[in-house]
Amino acid sequence: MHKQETHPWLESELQRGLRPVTAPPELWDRVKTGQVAPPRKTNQKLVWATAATVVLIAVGLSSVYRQSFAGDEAAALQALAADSQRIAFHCQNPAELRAWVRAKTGLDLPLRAQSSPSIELIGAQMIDGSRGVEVAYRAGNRDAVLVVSRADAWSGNRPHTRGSGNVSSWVMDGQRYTLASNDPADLQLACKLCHLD
Amino acid sequence: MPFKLMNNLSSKTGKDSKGSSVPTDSIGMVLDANDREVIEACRQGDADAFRALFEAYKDRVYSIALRYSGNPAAAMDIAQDTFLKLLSRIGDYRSEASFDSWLYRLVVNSCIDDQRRGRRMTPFLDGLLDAVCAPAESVLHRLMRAETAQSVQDVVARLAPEHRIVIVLRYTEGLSYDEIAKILGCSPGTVASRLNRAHKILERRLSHLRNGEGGPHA
Repeated sequence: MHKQETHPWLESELQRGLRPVTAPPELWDRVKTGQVAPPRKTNQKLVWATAATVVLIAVGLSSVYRQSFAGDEAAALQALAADSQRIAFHCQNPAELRAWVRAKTGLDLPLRAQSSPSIELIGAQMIDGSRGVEVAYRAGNRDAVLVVSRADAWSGNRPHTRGSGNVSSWVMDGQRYTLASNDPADLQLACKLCHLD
Repeated sequence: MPFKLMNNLSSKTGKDSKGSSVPTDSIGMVLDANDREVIEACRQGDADAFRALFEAYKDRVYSIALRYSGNPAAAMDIAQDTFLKLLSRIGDYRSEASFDSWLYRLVVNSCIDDQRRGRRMTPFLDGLLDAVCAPAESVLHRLMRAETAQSVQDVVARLAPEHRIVIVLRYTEGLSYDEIAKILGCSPGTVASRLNRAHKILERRLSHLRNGEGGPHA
């Protein structure tokens, strides 16, 4: 069928020279060392337990996150309802107020150097010791309050989150901001405390 | 776990498609029920079953790897790679096919992969140099000083990969042309052609053994 003209001496030498050998004992160790996990059936219970744990952690973190905002929102709304006479540091100069806040709390308020004509600064008041600060001011003809506190380490920058009606909160550069105004429609105007017209 | 794979590993003499008598193994044999159990257990991730398969096939796998590469370190790499492939791909093995053929394909692929990694291109380069410019006298002189078996291995290691693998499967494993063809995915005629070419090269390069100049087997 497949005609071969092989000399018997060559076949004999090849069979002798290429004879099978015994594998070294360390081969098993090599295989074991590089051994990948054999395919196994997925443990459904473990998968569900892991998923449930992840969901619980997510819900817990979300709850903590909401609660931390809730505290600032409550402080902002209380400040909005309170008399401005309680303000500890009355100041109409943005630079001075910024320096005072930094000295008292370490927080940096990105106030504009020159206030918008529609913004009238009243002053600042520390909240919960030095946890945060509230800045009282008037936007247009309405009272507004900006509460600033430190955000948790795991909080990244977050977009504005509309709170309850006339309150809006967000996180930026490690600080949590809560803006409150008497009228929800005035929130955009209240933003001019830090932003351009 | 009962282990009966060795039933299929006992060497015996058979006739290949050429009709010559060569030692052959049971490549074409159908696995018995116990063997299938071991393979199925390995497929399910049973570590003992994998160890059983390893013990049954380690010598054959290592032998092919060593004879193909001509290098014990490379042979260890190839053998390890083969068994890791076996472990990860055992799910692809279909029980109606020959397990031996399937495993041989893994070994051959590991040998080719090892070659492609470029670590041992010297056999090809050596062969080229030998054919083009090496004086026959110097090759003869070197081989005369070596053990005959080592001489054969050296010369085989310098064959082109497609010639080397058919020589190894033929003379290390004693497989028939049809079995080699099945493993390599080519026709028996192609196997015969490659063997014929390899024989001619080896005959020329090992001619000193025939003339009684190279060792005790001449």
